[in-house]
Amino acid sequence: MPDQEESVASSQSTSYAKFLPELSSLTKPFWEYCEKHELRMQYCAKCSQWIWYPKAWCPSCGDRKSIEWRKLSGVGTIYSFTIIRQVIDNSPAFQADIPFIIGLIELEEGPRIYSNVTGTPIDSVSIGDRVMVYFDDVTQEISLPKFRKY
Amino acid sequence: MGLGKSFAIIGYGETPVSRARVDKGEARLSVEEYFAWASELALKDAGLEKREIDGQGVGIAGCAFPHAEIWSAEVIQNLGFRPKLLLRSDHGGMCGASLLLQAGIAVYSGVVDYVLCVGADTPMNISTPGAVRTWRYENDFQKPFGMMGPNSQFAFIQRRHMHQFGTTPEQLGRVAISQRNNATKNPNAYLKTPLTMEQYLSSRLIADPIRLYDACIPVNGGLAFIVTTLEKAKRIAPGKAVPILGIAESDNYFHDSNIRPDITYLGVTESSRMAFEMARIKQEDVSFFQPYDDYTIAVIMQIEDAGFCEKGKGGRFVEEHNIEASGDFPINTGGGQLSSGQPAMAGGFVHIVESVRQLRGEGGERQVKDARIGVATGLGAISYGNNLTNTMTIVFGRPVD
Ligand SMILES: [Zn+2]
Repeated sequence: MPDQEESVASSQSTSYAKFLPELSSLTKPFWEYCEKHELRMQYCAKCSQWIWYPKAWCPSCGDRKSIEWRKLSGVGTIYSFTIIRQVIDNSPAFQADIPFIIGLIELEEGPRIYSNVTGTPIDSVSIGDRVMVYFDDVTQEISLPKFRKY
Repeated sequence: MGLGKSFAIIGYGETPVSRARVDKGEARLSVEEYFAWASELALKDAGLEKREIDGQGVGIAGCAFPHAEIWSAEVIQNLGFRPKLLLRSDHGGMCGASLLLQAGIAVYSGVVDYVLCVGADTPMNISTPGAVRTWRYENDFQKPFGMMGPNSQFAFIQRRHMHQFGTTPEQLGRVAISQRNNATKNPNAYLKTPLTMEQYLSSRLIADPIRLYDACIPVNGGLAFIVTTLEKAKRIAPGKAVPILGIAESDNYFHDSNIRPDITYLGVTESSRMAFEMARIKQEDVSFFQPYDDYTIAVIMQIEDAGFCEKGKGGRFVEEHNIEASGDFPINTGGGQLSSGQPAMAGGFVHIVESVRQLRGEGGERQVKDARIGVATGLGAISYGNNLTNTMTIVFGRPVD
């Protein structure tokens, strides 16, 4: 069962075998904040809307200039989730983690993010559970924002 | 005047499908061969010669393999067509429906008289994992967390539908079992052995709550259809041209909130309302429904979203109705992609071709009695945090003389 200890252990290994994001000028700020263990997302100051995943303009109002990277509390609830029991079309390195949980987490500020919910038995997760972000430093540059129940 | 009742499908083609299991005696054909085969079948069915497509329109569906940006050009070179309009769709499961709409607009406007739309794909020939590049948000914000493509995406949708409306595995199983029973009467279906509820419930969980038998089965195959105006259709294909009474698309639909959508509602809510209005029909006029079926939950959601029952009652609907081809509300009469197979990007052609076949009375053992009006949908591209980006609803009528 994947728990936090295992995640920490995997992070210390030199060859990280799982998929990593490709950084672009658009997505780089997100990952740089993650590296500092800060969860930030784009926010359109013009129409007061959160934007996630990173976009090149505000998908609500079309403004390009009013987008800022705002900090989130990192607290949210599980809107929906899946328990992955078979690796298909992803890195075989996930095989060692099976079964593991991916939640669609609704952050208290509004946006929803897909991420792992760890440190809890597989059958103890429900829709509506409160979760809190933590950062798994999987490589030198990439820290994945993951969640645990709290 | 309007797009509704202005154009028709005058011919279709559907190749046998294969899982490319050479060890089991199955064919392992290239995608080029499927494109040619499906085109040949559709032309023959419409009574057209290949050269009659020169100066007309050709519509090509995107393809998982080879995955080239310039693809329609390659296909028409391979096939030797010389069209004056080349349409292309990259809408995943909505490719067939999108090409039908594009072709309809093209013949309605008079730019061309005919459009041959072809989709073929060979997912079973792809042996290298990761050979198919997916969309960037999946690579960057889903795969690093272990998301496993459509299975995991649909797991969120199904879990949420079960949570909000109490939809049960047994209700989802009814969809899989009923469609399999339809497939037993479809010579072209890949899976033709009846499925029991026990087998469904004990099939392995892939991305829990999605089970093996909740998902469609990938196959190699090709499908095609030919579109012309209703006027010309009456002249060249009397008695077998199936008119499109209504057709409407809804893209990037969200229910309630764009950052916090209710993911149990599809854009089919909107596309169906518009298509039914265009066709001037009501739900009770519909003889059969061919909803895009990559997963069982998609079928249940679309029964609701197309207005055949109240939102959230789709599970109960499939318990209270017989949804087999011989039943009171026939759904995916050829087995759909769940049982007949999904030729990747050409999968959305299945629902169109089966609708035409049924309305022409060519359903054989699975013919729907007194089929008058059929509805099909296409769904494409699974979005981040929502469900399907592309949705289309099509209303077909009886052949015109
Ligand atoms: Zn804005």
